[in-house]
Amino acid sequence: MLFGKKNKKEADKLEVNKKYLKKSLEYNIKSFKNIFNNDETLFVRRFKMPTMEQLECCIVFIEGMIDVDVVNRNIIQPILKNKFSMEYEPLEALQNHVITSHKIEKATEMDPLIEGILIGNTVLMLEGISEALIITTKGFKFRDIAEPPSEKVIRGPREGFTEAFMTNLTLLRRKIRTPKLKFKFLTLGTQTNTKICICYLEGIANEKILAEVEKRIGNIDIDGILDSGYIEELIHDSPLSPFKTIGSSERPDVVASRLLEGRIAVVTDGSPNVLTIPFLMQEYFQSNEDYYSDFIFASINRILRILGFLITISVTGVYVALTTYHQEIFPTPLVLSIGAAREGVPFPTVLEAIILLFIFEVLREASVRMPDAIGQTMSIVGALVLGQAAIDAKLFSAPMVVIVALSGITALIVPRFKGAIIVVRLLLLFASAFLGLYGFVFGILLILIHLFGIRSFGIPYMLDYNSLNFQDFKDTMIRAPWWYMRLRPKFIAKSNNQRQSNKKGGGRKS
Amino acid sequence: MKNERGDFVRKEIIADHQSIVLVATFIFGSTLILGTGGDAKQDAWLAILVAIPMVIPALFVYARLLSLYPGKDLFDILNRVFGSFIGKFIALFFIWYAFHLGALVIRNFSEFMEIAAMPETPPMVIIFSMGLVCILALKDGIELLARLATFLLPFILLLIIIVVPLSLTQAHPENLKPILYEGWKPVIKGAFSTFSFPFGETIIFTMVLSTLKTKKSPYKSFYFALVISIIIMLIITLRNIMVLGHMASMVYFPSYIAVSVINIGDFLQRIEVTVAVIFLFAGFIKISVCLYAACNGITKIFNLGDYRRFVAPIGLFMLICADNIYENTMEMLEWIKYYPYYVIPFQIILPIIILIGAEIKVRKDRGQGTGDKEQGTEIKER
Amino acid sequence: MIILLFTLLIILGFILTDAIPMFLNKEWKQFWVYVVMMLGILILVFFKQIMNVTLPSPANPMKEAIIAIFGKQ
Repeated sequence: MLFGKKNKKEADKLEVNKKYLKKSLEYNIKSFKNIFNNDETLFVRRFKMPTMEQLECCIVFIEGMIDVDVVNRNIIQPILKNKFSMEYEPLEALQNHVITSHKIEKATEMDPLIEGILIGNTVLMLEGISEALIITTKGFKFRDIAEPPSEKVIRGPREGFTEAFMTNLTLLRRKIRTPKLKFKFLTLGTQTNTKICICYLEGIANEKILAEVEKRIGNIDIDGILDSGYIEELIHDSPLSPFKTIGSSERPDVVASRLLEGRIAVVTDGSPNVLTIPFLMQEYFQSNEDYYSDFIFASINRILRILGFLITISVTGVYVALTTYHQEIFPTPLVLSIGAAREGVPFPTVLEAIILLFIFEVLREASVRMPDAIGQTMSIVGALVLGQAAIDAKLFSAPMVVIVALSGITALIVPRFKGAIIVVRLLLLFASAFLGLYGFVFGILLILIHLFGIRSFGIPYMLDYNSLNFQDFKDTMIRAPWWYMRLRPKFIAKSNNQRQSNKKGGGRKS
Repeated sequence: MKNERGDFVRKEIIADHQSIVLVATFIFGSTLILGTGGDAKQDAWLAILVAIPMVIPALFVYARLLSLYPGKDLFDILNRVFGSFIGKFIALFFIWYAFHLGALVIRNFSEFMEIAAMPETPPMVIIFSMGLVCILALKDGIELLARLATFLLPFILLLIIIVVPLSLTQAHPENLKPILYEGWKPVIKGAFSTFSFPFGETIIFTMVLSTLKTKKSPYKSFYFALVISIIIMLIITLRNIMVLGHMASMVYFPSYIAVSVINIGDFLQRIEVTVAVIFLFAGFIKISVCLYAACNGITKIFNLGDYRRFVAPIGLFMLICADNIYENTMEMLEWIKYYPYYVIPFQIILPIIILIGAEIKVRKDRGQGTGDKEQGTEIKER
Repeated sequence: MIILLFTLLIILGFILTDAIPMFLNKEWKQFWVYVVMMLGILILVFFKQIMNVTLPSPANPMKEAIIAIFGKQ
């Protein structure tokens, strides 16, 4: 015990010694090399100032993280070519008169220096001075701003977020040019030290939700954040639900519109997906293009999406229920044709449905993961397994294949649901196989109970559609025309609701 | 109440429109399938109208009780008016009534499924699956139920609006005649049974609606719900009589039969399953409300804290009770005849006694100035 | 038999979600009431499903009481 304590004390002492720069340049370089032991990307360049032979300089950076041009042209070149006298403190002189960089900081401790090196800055040290300069020289290659393939639009802006943190924030700022747009920075991940930014519009965002978001993000203790998906899963409500309670988008216009509605965005360094909080059920059915094209077309699309969702979760279950328990509801010819099609099929209807759904999911997942070159093989095999060949071989009945294909296609209309659709579809299928249409209704009730129980950061996930208030209804089942949407959704932005002035007609000439 | 991350304080508040929907669905829930006023035969619709003058004062009693003590339910009121011991004793009766009513509705439901749709499935399976849905709904609280009811009501109404005109193709208005063939006596008898089932059953809501917003809310919820449910019941009853004639009072489930005879162009036929779906939704809400009342009462009497944690055991007891309550369907229909007499103490006598006690107590407290103060702080809290 | 197993499963599920938190919070009164109720349910289902004992229904005595009070109709 005693020994351990002593050891620890000594270690503490060493830590203290380590934390500050010394006057000796040799020592400082050694301590950097000690910290980055076995790391050969650390680059140390020593050179002497021409005017003062005795003053040795040294720059330290990590190769690949810096912009070589900037270091050459703005740091090394001016120092080597400059003829300045000893009027000033050498470090001051370098900072104020020599080095041409937009951002230079002074530091005496080791920690900020190391941090600076790790994010791609260059550290400049001088012999005999226990201070150093951190010069911003960040420069690494990033993907260009391009339209995100996961959220394509026909009409509307084509830019998408990239992996570059500041670029993403710039994209947001360029959409909303007001000082009320706030950015709060945080660093998460004990190993990755990833930068996180919480964006919100002051005066519109709900403070309660903001405080809650900050609290939950502050509670995160993890070694690494590689994508915003980590944060999403660590802070969302009802962790076991297949429905997500935090939205994400790759498009600046989508995030900007959500900020304007009073939501809060979380930007993560290295991830093109920006989280928006809170996320409600209705947002599954919204698309940014709804707001750019005319409201009639947008409303039709939205109703189509809701119908697509309803069909994809229920069609297999309803088919199984009707064919096994309630044949009387079909007109006689249909019963006969279904019966004829099922002749010789070895499986009961439920099993048939489950196997076909399974094959469909396998094909879907395979088509995402496989290299493009084998795409053709895939589609041929898929067509055989889920097509005429399977029916001819009497493995599956033709109506079942049609039903599963319908269920699969309609799922594509609401791609954001992902896992939720599969889970709900299976639940309804089992419930209908168990108790017929009554089981199906029980299943629907269970899902509704679940959905109504969820809250996303204190906001009810499902709105009561029939609160007899059309202002709440305007952006859910349909997309009301812009001149009607004068108020922000009141459940999120509580304090500041006014979106357009109350002048009759808004921008429309009346 | 805290959510799982322990933050946002969640209060259960039921908005006025939600409580209206809840009460309305509760009233027309099982009536949609069982029919009412059977004694009056082809004058059943008249029996409903005659029942209205009896229902209005009864609902006034219930609503008055709730508005005298805002933020309190029947069990709190009993405790305050009659003291801890007698109050708890009377509360036991009401708990029994809520519990028994829930079991009866579940049983009606399972009998219906047995006869109409799936005679081979064991009744226990149906009872359990229905009961589990109700238990899971209530584990999230009464507020969820209210929101769910508002969500479901449009679908129920839509199904009714679609199905009723379709069945009018088979309707024979002459079935309504002769009006008052046997005089007023069967009509009044029918009105009496209509009062006890379903209107008087709203006494359950004095044990439920303690989280309304204002003092006027109870009146609003009861009377709006009364209007909605009377309109729906009149439509359904008239339809049943016009389609089925004197059969309407003889079959077990008149709506089901009335819809099953629909046949439009040999394509749209046998759509009685839609009626079953309506009944499922409405029955679910009715059972859940009864279960909530029972749980609320039991946890309050025995000081067990949050009612949500006891929904499961009490609900399962209710399911077993529902399974054992009758031997067979005949016994159930026999019991329905006695039901109006059985409920008199719960629906009429006890509420009036409690109301009188409460009025006296409130006046007395106001005179002393203590009760007022207490009430004032409560209102501020909410 | 299947129904008994089914009930057992449901009861176990509810005990996991409801009773275990009560146990951890040391709310002994609630915990024991809960457990005793669940045991009662299990016993009742056992009697009904395995021993075929029908429990006395409250309907009949109530019916008789009503006839006694209001007279036969």
